[in-house]
Amino acid sequence: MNLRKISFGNFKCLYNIAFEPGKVNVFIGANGSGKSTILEAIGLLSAAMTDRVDSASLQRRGVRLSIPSLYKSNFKGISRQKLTVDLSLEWDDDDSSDVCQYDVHLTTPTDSDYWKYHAEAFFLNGIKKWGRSHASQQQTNNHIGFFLIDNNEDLAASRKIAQDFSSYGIFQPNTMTLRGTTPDPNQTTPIGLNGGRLAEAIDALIHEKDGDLCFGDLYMDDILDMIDWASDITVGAPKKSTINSNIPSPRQVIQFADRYMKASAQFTGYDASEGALYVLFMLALAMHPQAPSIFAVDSFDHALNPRLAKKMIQVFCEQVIQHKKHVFLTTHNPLVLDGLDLRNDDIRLFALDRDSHGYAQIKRILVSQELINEGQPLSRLWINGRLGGVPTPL
Amino acid sequence: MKNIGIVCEGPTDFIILQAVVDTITGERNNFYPLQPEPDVIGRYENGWKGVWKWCIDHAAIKKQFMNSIQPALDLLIIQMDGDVSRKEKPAHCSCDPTVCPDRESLNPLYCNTITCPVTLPCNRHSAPVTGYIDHLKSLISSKLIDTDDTCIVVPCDSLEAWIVAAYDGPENVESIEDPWKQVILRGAPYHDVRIPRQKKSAKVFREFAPVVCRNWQQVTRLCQSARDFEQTIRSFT
Repeated sequence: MNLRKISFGNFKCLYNIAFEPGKVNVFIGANGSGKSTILEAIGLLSAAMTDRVDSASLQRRGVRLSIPSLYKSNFKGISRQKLTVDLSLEWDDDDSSDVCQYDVHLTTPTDSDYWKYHAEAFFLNGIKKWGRSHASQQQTNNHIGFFLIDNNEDLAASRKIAQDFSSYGIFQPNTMTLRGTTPDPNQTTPIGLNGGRLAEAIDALIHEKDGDLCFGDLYMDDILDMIDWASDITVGAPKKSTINSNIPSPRQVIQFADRYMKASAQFTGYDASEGALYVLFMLALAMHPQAPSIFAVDSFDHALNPRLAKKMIQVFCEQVIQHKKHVFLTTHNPLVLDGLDLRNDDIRLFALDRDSHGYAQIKRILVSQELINEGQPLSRLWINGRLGGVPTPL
Repeated sequence: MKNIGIVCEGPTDFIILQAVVDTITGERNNFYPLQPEPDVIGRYENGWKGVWKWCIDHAAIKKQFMNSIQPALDLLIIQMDGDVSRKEKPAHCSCDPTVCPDRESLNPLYCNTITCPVTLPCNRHSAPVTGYIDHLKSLISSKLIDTDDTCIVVPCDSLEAWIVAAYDGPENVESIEDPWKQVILRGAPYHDVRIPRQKKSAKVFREFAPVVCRNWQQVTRLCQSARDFEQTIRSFT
């Protein structure tokens, strides 16, 4: 499956915006430019298309809950506010040339927790195949999305996307959850949005193949190249010899051996560098068979040294593409850009800027390899302002 | 809607230029703040030296810099205030008949010669305003080499003259030396705009920008540099 186009209207600073995603989509922009809002708008679309839209379904996807009036665009220049938040997704399947499209128009909650479906529609190759609006008979329950439950035959074949899209979440790991000392308020299978149960997810990925220790599709040695101080990574029950007994610990913990220390001096994720935990977290998301196939990570580079972030994004891109996933990332780290191979059309870079009225604008960035070869890496071009996605001069 | 890169002396210049270009073109354009000092390692500095350095550093790759990245830049705006011509000796280093033994070996930007033979006002580029504009335009052009799709703007004596022209409208506004100090700070608060610590801040200039745009016709009537700027921008749109 390929996501072809995503459009949003009247949602926060995304008044009228559309972009054509690849498999790996990296968003850069100044603080407050709308990067996280894009991830949230995709979460809203996921909820609308595959479920219903209420506080629980949004929270499950990592969307910040706001007061209803803040969901709709509220720019000074808009004299008459639009009634609905408008979302649209276009996609195709690898085994068919058909182009599918789902449009939904939602009104924000007023008297209850539910967003109401003002209208939703499904198009095949641009021709409307199904739909309902606030005026139609099917509007008996306007709190629930009908795309998944309507009996219309035209919808059946196109619903494969729902399996992928329903588990969309915005991952934003925090260190204490990754260390296992704080429960994840948004626990999902196999990893919570904040990194809960990372040890179990990793345990499922570590295996032996032809006498070599592997981590998913990678050799463990490749992982240890990135976490260069570690000589071994295992998962097991917490022991008094590896973790202080006063520290609350989950059923399983990640155990590290440090190549500079004696073999007996093993320790757990509680004592390990947070960067190592972030690396394992990201790779688990990319490779775990039960991890969502469409997901987002806010602040991809968090806790990573710039050079590690560059290496990490290279490995992450390979794995995401290999596993046919779609991912949406935000970053503030210029070196992450240097790890992106923009010659590969599956990897896309987008810059977000607010225009003079405050509306978020999105632009796909393409840079010729010749320019990069001339000593103008993406990181430099970004910092120098040429890619956009920077604050106005400070 | 055009993609426009701006190389300017300071952050507050960027705010005014951006607003004025939108006014002239009648549409909201995408602006790329290329200078001042966007580089975290501090290769460039604010002010006219930063603009000069940027031009030298990008001369060889300017075409690619504008076109090999999508979205491509439709236009590059380079701003340097006219006061550079009035008071900066390095800007006149290569003027005839000035003779300096170090001229060939030293970059004027880094030259610390105490006995600099340049005298100001330069008798080749003295006032009036058009002299400063022509001098700095040709100086920047010589650094850039290629000036395709490039608009060089030289507000005289500085970009703050456009603000004074918009608010007060004096006839000789471009001849006022340092209008920021001589007019705007003297009147603080300037037309009800408070200027905390007498500092050029983005907040203050964001208040000035709509007034400059609203009174742009008056600004162009009073300022040769604004007329010149508008004409050039129009030729690209």
